[in-house]
Amino acid sequence: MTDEELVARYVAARDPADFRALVERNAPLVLRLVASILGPFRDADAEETAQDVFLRAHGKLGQFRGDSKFATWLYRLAYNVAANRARLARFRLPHVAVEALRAVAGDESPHEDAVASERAAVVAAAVESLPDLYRTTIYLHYWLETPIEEIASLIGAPPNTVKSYLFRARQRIARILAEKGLTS
Amino acid sequence: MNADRALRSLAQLPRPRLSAFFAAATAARAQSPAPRRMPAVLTMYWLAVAVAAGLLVTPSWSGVALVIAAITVIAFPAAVLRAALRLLHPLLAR
Repeated sequence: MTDEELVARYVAARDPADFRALVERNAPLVLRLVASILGPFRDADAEETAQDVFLRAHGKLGQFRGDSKFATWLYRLAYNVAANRARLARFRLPHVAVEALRAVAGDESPHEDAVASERAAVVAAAVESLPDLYRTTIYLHYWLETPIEEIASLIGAPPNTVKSYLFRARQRIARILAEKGLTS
Repeated sequence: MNADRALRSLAQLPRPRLSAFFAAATAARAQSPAPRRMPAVLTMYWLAVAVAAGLLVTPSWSGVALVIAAITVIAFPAAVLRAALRLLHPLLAR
């Protein structure tokens, strides 16, 4: 049974098991999208936002006309909910990501660790400075290792556009790294 | 260090995971009744207070400025807080 058929059946009969099945099917990708918008180290916030997405979707299921795929409709809703949350909650200070990246810098010598920390700080700041869509795409691709086709479906853009976002985001990051003297 | 190599370090960061009961908890919350909305009497009360406050403050320019400031804070809470922190930071650092 497709998601669209499940939605139609749930709207008609209101069987909680149908809604639960919809959540189970779509939650992993919704969480992935939400996390890529909120950024790393916000696990609890990401799960709460993902739940909020499904609760809002539940309230709007009656409005789903089936003009697009249910997943497309849900991802659009998830993107808006998470973007609003990020806008309200985030002060765009890269310190959280910096600390985290420092933690995964590795077991090098103190000098190499210091250099790695500096690089991590610059990379984190560079990613945070990207426009929303580029940052989301970078996190989906590099952090969550999501295939291009899946990113395309999550952000509602063709795969070639996703590749172009990644290319441009990498260019910006390369420029920032060069400005900081971190290119080799 | 090129950009691609630098970004690959992001893969080492922990990834979010859903709790085991996520679907069940979400489905249960969706079935629970919506939180009660504000009673009509209370809505009327706050409306009356807002109108009275508006009548009191709008005749003076300082009152108008106060209303504009309040609307700005309500519309852009994060931006206002960020601006306030930037403004206060040098004072707090002393």
